Amino acid sequence: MITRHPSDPCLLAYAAGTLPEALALVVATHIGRCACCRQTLVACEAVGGVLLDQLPPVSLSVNALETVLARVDEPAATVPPVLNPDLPAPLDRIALGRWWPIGRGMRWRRLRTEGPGWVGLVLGQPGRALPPHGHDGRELTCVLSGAFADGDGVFRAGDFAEPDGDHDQPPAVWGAEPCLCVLVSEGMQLRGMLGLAQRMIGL
Amino acid sequence: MSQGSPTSDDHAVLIQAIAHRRDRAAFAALFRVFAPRVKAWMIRGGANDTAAEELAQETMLAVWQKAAQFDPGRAGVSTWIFTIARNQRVDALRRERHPDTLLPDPDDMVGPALADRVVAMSEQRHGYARLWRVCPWTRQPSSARHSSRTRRMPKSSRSFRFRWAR
Repeated sequence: MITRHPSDPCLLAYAAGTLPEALALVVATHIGRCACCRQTLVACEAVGGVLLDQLPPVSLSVNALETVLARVDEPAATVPPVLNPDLPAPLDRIALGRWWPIGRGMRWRRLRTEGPGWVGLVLGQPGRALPPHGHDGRELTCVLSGAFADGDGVFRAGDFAEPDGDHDQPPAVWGAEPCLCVLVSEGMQLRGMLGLAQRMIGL
Repeated sequence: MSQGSPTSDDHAVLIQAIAHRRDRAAFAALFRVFAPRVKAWMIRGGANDTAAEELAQETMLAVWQKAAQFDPGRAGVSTWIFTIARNQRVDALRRERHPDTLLPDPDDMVGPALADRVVAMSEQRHGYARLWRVCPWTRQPSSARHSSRTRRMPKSSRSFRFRWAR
């Protein structure tokens, strides 16, 4: 049962296509597992359709239609191949980096997307927590399996975490199972010795 | 949603004509209605005139290619075209990102060989240049250090090398 959802501005930005790829990927992962957010998304897209209907038209170049008609027999763009069949839909076509340890019992694996923000898989062993950190921008998390808890409560599989501002306490794995999340952070700044290591390896 | 209005139904019929009969006249009618609006939406999203024109054309091409996937029960025509336009814009943003700013300028080839190697290495894994920057004996003044945290790499490799030379 999914109880934590993205905020409306976040879903609207996703529907309008204005989220950077890394953030959109995490939102898409949640939407793929949440019927409720799919309905909200359909509503947002319907708003986009009405907006499109009511925009004042801007004329195209004179031969635009001929240009397009000349290209209609081209084959459609190919879909990238599935690289990670074990991951849910939006993540399975993204190239992965290698696992990196981030603190005790926590590992991080980068998803190679373009644009700002780091996105990656975080795997935490039971009882372990992310290292203390702050962020300059948004941090979105979607839980794939297991559960984690932070100052805002418990997040289970499928839940979407969108903390406003810094964590009171860093997210920690909750329960006896390891927790796998997909996490995107804009400008995460680790604190302490790990922060030094972060700056040294250039992340 | 204006799903029940006659114009929307007309458009749905046009899309089905494209899907079943590859009807170019139907496509032209649809193009005249939606391409200018898609272009207007692209311009509102910050694209310049040329890019908006190109994206509008790509969107209409995708409408032709995906016409068979249109389900009038699920979404109105304008909503469906909006989602296609949105995906086209996201894809275009993806292609434009990450211009490779780290390629050495031809006139920089005379610089110290070591710096060249460091730039080449950091191209591979964004790492070693940072390592040098936090080492005490290659450290920059504090103002430059602060700005280097917000910027991935110095703007030009020449300023980078200048720091190296000191």
